[in-house]
Amino acid sequence: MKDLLKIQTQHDLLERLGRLKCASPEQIRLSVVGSGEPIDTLIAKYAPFPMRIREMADYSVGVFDYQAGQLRLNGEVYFCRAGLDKITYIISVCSGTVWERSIARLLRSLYPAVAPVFLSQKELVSLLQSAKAIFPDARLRIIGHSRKKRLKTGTRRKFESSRTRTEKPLELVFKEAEEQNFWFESISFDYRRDGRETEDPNGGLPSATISKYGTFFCTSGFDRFRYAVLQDMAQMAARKMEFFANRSRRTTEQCKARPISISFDSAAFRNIDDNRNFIGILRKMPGTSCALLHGNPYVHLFLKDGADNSGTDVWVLKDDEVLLIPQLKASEAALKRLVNYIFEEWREGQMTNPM
Amino acid sequence: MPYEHASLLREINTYEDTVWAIVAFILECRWNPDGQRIDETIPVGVGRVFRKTDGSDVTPDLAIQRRATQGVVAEVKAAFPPEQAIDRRDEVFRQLKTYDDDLLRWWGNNGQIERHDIVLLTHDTHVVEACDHLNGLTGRDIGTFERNLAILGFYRTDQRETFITLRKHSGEFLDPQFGAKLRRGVPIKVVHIEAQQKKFYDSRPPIPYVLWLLWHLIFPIYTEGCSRDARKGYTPIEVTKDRVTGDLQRFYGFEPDDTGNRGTPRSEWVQEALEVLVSLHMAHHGTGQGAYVIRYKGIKGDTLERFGRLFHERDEIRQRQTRRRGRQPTLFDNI
Repeated sequence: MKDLLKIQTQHDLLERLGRLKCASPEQIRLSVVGSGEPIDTLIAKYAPFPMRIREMADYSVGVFDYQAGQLRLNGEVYFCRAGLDKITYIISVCSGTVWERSIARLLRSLYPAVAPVFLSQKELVSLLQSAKAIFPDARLRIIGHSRKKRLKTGTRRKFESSRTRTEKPLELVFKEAEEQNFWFESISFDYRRDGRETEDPNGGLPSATISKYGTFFCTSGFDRFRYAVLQDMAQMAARKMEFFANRSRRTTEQCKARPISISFDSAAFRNIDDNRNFIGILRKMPGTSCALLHGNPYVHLFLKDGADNSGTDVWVLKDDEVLLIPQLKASEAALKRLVNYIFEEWREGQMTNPM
Repeated sequence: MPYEHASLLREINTYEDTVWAIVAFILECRWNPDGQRIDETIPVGVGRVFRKTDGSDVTPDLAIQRRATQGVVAEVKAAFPPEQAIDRRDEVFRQLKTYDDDLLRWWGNNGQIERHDIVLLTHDTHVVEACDHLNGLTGRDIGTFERNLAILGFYRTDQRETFITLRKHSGEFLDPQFGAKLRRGVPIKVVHIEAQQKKFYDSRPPIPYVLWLLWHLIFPIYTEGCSRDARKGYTPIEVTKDRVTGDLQRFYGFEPDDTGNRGTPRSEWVQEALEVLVSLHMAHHGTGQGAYVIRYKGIKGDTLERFGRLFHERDEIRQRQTRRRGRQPTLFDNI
């Protein structure tokens, strides 16, 4: 994909990607991230492997080529503005190995300055619905997914996880997941036009994958996805960045707290065992230190993010709500990570500003 | 004696419950029923020093000027002394009696108001004993009040949601509607109380609690711009007692002001906590008065438990040293 490096403007780059058809194992891979600082300058400071940044007219590109054990990892990564405040598309045309071992690793190393968007299951469905509408003459078919189910406490394993190859309609897959209490990490899909079962069933249509961690992969048709799925995903990311922004008590008027409420459809804290499980889960949150101040009948914990010292008071004062009170230092990334952890490890709820 | 974390948690929870009761009373006093909102212009003083007519000073736990000409002073005794401690019980009412005077240093109008109420705020489980003791003081000076003396109980309820309820068990208020409402009981959602983010009142908190607050809430903001010393394995942060006190008061307590509010937490409590950090080798003295250098680094596990344990072990060592110094010489000492 060296010819992409010659493109000077972001518009031309995205147009070119729009026409691109990738052959396995390569795909157009993209991550939607939020950051208050330009990502290319952050990379210069925090990249875990050598990367040369090249400034183009209105975007930048990073080029890397290094040895990782037995493996030679090289490629290009494009940093493009998503047209929304603080939101960037990180794009690469590469194999899954290069994406996981280089680009995903790079993004993790930029935490908390760069935060991925975490999608709820509802948001994931809405993105798939929007993907479904891209090719009106074709049926969207789920061809694979990676899903998890929380096991009851007391077992050594926390999750039952499965990676499944299937061929089912979108609605059926989500209905099954709801019935069996699973949630999806990623979903792969393709399109099929009716009446073409014998010759080239996809009719040149793309296959793609969306994950709840804000990544999107596709084999082709990037131009169509760009104006539907990716735009929606960027808007979700922007809304979340705005929701989590300016929560630190040092930035608010009269140092007032700006709590976040996570409310659940039904009672999630019915007895002391529920409280105990919840406390156990938060105590095990990776990269975080925790202090328990009260466990029963109400719950009060304090969590501090090890990466940037962001602190959050976690309260359970109602049986169907978790209340987060960000403290003096509270980054968007740390709050997002905490909420996503509660969604994944406890259960998904509705986020609101309670007061 | 082995360290008991549950006992530290109980101590902290009692302290927090008392803070909640005070904040609940402040919110109720500031509640504007017409506008259905909290009136933040109503002045509040925690640890405010008043001058009596005889020239002496008194410091009630809480003072609120609900109206331009009317105020409330309150003393908070989460645990009313037990039946056998009659002197201590009398002392509570002796203290309340000191507020039964034309106190000066209210807000505005040369520090004077027409009249104020006196309140004793205690836990609901002690309130009957407090009322009975007051009835038993009839005829004595400390049992006779010229101004209204109301005894309020507070308790926490945890059903589907956690509330702090304030209930008046005896006495009256200058505002009869306010008194009647409190007589019926006023439940206040803890979520509203906690949104105020008050963690101190005018009483010394448990030291490990202050250490934990400093380490997790205050020091992280000081680390900005400081780099970790890789050789020493910590981030050195230069602080002063006054800066730390000021930030704790601003964010988690009550700020001092030029109207007479002394501010809480007090600087001597903060200094004590900083000295404990020095003795735990988590800080050292800096240059200048009240200056310290914090050896800041992450703590694994439950940080509150860690501070509780370290403080307990430090106390144990100190007690052993004191016992060793103070004990009588024995026949075997010279062997």
